Amino acid sequence: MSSAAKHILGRVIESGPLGIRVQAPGWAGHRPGQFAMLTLNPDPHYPDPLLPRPMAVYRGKGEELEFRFKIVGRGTARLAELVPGSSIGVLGPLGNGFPDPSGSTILVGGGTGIASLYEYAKAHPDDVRVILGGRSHADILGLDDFQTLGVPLAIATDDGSLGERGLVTDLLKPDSNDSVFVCGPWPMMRAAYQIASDAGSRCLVSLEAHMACGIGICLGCVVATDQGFRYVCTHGPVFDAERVDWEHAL
Amino acid sequence: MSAAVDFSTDLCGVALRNPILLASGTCGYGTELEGFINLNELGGIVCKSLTLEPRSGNPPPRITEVPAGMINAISLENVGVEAFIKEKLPVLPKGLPVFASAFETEIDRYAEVCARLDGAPGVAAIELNASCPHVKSGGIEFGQDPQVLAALVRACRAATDAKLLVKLSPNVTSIAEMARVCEGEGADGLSLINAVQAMAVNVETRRPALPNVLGGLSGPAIRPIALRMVYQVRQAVDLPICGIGGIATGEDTVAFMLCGASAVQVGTMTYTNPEAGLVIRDQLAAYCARHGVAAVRELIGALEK
Repeated sequence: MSSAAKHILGRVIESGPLGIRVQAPGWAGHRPGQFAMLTLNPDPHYPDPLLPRPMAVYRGKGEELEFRFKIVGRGTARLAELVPGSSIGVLGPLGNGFPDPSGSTILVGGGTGIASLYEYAKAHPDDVRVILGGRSHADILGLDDFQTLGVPLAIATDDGSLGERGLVTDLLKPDSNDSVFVCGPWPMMRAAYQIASDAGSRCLVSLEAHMACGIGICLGCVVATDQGFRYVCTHGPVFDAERVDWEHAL
Repeated sequence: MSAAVDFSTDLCGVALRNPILLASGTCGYGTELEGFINLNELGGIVCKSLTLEPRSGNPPPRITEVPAGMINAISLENVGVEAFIKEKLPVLPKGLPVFASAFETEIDRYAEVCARLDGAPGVAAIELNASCPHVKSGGIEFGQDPQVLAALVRACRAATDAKLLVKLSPNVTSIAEMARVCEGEGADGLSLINAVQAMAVNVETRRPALPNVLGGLSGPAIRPIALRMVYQVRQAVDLPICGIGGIATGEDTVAFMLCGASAVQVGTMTYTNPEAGLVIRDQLAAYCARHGVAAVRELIGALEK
């Protein structure tokens, strides 16, 4: 449970097709890998789109929060259109986030999943190596930010427009002392877990799910695990990959 | 909030400090919301529906968004009635009216849930969730067949002395007939409406949006249907009514009360803001101040024609 979580009426600083920056007065701070629920229409007289959208905090500085996304539906399309000064509901910080490093950690990000990893790399630059992937150059969000950190960085794209041609998992070669933290599309996370497992590495995955509330009351965001259904919002979003039932999970 | 307005109301003999309750399935067991709101500022809460044994619910995905609403197929995941009594009830704040929701797949099992809840410390009343598919009737909801509904209410009435509200299914031809059935079998009050049966399709994949195919539509999308049904039930029976269905603002609460509701339940909107119930209460206060309403009870059934 994140007792620090609050529902905040925030303001849009700027927004566009790649992400949004908001001012969230009273934001309690967060761990890398935690998320917020963004409510597009905080005025309940006009409740459409109705549900808030779960978004990993890409980067936070005090009460200023940045989220990165790709337009995939009505919610993200509307988020991208919000003009500076618009009201936006911000509920958070939510979820568990990533644990502090216990030795060398490989961060593996695919597509918008990269957004969950940046602050971890920033907080622990001496402990991490980063592997990012996407379909093409344009999908590697935050590339400049990762490069600025000066952390070891490898990139794979499907079309070879940046880094190696191929999959991020082609570049993942952990040994048993490495921890592997992954966020990205389901098949990528599953493949990364398999590689980590074969190498004897600990693997954590940050999951995404359809979610209405973010605080464990709608029960919409379950994932199948060896402990039965768990909630991505309150038990996760970060899960030990070996507990996830990869055959039936989402 | 204006101190001058009297917000107290009554739902089948349960005194409420204000008419805003949180609906079953949208507030967990109450404690999930304690970091966000003081539960004791609400009129009450209706906890997640309880079965005899714990239920783990449907595999994901369980929810999908539609215009001004959502469709869910959670399938009533819950901790079971015993864990509710032993673990959930004792940690809720004293003085908070707690309505326990009962749900099962057979009439005698429904009655058993009611019997277990009977006299449980802290339970103000029982709300029967009549929207479960009844296997013996070919899977239609208990609340869709007047004879099945009558048998259900009769059995539960016999099983408990607690105040008994029946939460009506909207998936019927005549909601008034269902209300009369409940009144005839000794229900103390009615909650309406439950989620509206619905479906969504992902045309890109040509598959149902939810693997369960059908689900329950909730949120502001169903509000006009709910309001119509409260209005019709008010004409049909004398039982107190708790209005439910997409209530998002204080003005929505006023509309349901004017149509005959003694109190309302806020449901899906709590997902969009965990403080929604209290925001709505404050909007209701502003309405009362604006219109010179001294006691919120004056609004009940006060629709001008």
